[in-house]
Amino acid sequence: MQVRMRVNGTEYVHEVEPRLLLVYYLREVVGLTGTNVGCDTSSCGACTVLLDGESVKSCTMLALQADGAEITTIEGLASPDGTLHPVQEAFRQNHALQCGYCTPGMVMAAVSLIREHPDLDEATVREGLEGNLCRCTGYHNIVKAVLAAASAMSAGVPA
Amino acid sequence: MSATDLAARPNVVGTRMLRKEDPELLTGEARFVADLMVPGACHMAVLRSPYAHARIASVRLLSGPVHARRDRCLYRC
Repeated sequence: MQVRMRVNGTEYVHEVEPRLLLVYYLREVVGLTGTNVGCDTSSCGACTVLLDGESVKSCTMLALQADGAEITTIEGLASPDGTLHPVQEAFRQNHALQCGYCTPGMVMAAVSLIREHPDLDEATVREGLEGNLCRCTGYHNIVKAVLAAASAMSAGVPA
Repeated sequence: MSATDLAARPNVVGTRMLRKEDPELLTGEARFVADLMVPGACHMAVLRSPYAHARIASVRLLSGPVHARRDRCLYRC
């Protein structure tokens, strides 16, 4: 069946099998491998992307369900000149990653969370990122990074 | 090492250092093994026994496309 979506600003049209998951569409058909598959069962959040600005676990939906949508993956977050998005920059500054496997999903979930909560506090960040697992960091620096990004963004650093 | 050498070294102990590998991990540019798409790569799947303790009476290879691919793969590897 035909699927059409905009990924990181580029329009794609492909013929896909109805059973193809969005994450495999992004990784194997579009070729954007920044979105990782951690568990394939919607538990870990490594595959989180933005669908029309809202975070979704892309292993939990079919590519066809995203027909007509605007998708943002980790590759589409930084500026074209390479300047990191405030969330990416905050993750770097706060040492919020080690092996980096959960990072794309964690960053995308954080972007969505910050957008949804103008006044983020620590408890909200911890609850909001419950669906994203990280086996390296122990979460503390991730929470710090998300709070730092939220305040940088509300202080007017362009998102 | 002389005292002069020590003084000339950048003071890194106890300093927060930004990691060199972070930018590519943060932008999706980093390559994990699952991201490598090698033409003709072998794939494998493990089918585990549903029995915790049992005797293997026989091993029967299934026919069909999966089997055919497995054969091709074995020859190439």
